[in-house]
Amino acid sequence: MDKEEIRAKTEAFRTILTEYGSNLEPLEKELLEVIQRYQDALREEKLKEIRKSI
Amino acid sequence: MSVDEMEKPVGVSETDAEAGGEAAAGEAEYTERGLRELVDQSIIDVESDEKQIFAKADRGVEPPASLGLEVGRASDIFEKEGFAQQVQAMKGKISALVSATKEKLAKLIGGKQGEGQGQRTKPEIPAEVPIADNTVALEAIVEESPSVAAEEEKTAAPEAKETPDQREKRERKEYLEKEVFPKLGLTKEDEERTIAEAPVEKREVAEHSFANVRATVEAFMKSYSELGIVDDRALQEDRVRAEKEAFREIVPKYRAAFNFELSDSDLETMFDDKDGFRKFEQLIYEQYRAAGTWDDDHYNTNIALHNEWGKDFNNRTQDLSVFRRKLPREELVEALHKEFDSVENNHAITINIGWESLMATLREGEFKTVAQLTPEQIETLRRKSYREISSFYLDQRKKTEDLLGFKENDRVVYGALANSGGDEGRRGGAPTYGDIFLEMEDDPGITYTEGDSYNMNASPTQNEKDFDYRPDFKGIKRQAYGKTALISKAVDNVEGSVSERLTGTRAGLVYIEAQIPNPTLDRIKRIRVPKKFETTILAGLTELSDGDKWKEKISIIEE
Repeated sequence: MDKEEIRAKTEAFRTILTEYGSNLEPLEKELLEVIQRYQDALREEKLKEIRKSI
Repeated sequence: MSVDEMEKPVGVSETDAEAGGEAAAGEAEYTERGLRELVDQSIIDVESDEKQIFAKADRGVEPPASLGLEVGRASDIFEKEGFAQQVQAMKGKISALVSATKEKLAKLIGGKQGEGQGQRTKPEIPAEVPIADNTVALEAIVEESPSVAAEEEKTAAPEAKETPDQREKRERKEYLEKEVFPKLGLTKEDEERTIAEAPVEKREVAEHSFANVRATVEAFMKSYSELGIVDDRALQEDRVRAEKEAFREIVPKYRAAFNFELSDSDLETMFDDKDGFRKFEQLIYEQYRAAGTWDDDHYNTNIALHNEWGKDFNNRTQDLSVFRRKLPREELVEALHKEFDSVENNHAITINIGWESLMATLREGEFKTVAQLTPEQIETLRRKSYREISSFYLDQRKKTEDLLGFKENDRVVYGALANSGGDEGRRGGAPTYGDIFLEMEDDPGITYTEGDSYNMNASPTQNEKDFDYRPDFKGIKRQAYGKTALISKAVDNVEGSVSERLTGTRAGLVYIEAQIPNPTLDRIKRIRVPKKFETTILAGLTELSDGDKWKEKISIIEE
């Protein structure tokens, strides 16, 4: 590979990682939001259980 | 990997920099070796991102012990309120992104995804490789230094880089290709023949149906002969046992903390009651309340003891793996081959329909899709079958049809691929849509999906499939065509019987949906009518000018 090719590939490399980073972030956020909603639902359930048992 | 890290000058190996090259500061000196190292490291980083995110999610899914909620309830909420599916969907998307990125990165240095990340592989391609939106001309690296080449030889040995998971997957695939696919007509040759015989506009569908159904068979084998499916009844029994044990254990602490009246025999009755612990707590509360002595301290003590009980209960439940049931793969394969032979000779394409809709269809001389219904008809449908036909639904349905390969003006009528014997032989493939069913002529335009193309169906097999979850378009990776649909049907039939045998509960799809484009009424072979509708239908037909023609097609199903 000559310098130009390596330079072009390096550019492509940057593009791939930038695209990856910008796509991964919202997906990770969305996944953690689902987990958060699940944990909220568990807490809600626990509250209901306590109210029921008291 | 953070975006910050990506902004560093790239293409410079640390070794080069340390050696005092010009690249050490400021202007980046691009070297092939540096780029390779960088790409290798990035592939490792990307994999690590996926692992870390999944580990974080998995930790979040574990109900916090401090909450003291029973494992059974937490798991119910996770499964039944859609969280499991959402988490799986998001994980699927992340995995797909990670795989695609790894593949793109590997191509930069001439490797293939899955060849072992972080290792150098010889480029095969003196060709153009599209990367993102750029196309970069690559040339083969013909000359390598002997030491690098030797290192590559060493690291490229398949046994050195294959993980146990990869080996398991490879062995499964080899087994399927040798022992399972040929008898099902799922080989490459079968695929090529089917594609060649399919109408031009269905060739793409035919092609991906082979990939889909191979994945179904693989997922089925994996679920039922490797992972095993969960025996829910045994799991519930275990939870009841654990609850009771934890209940017995905690009673002395309640006795120490509270004064309450409860005879030993009544307590024994509570121990035997599935809901006994809650009743026990309720009894204490009510006695204090009646005496007017319930206060915050009692409340806090109760919560603390309740949580302690919850933790003890969690510890007493057995691991999920204890409840997994499976069969030897040879047994499954034999059952699958046998079922496939049976389905090949005994199946029907059916459309279930209510008697009023049937009469309207025959009167109007054509099948109508929901999109063609008048507002009054939509209202009738809503009132009679509780089906809401919203504009959102119609829009999503259209998008799904586009994705399944139908043309803009195709009128797609939905039916099912049914067994022609047994329950489905008497009720049709989708009896929830009507008591009567039509048996339709086969047609090369018909496509199928494993389950409803609009809604996801959960079954152990389908859950194991590697879906690209897109909330709007759910059918595409479950699409089957021609003979492959019969394989899907055979898998579903065997899954039903095997799951029932292993766990007492029948798992599987609701149906194999058939999408029938532009069917005309002359494609109806038979109209199967349960005995109880015979009089109504025959009376209705006398009002039609061509009623006699339809009478000949009526086939009564005796009670």
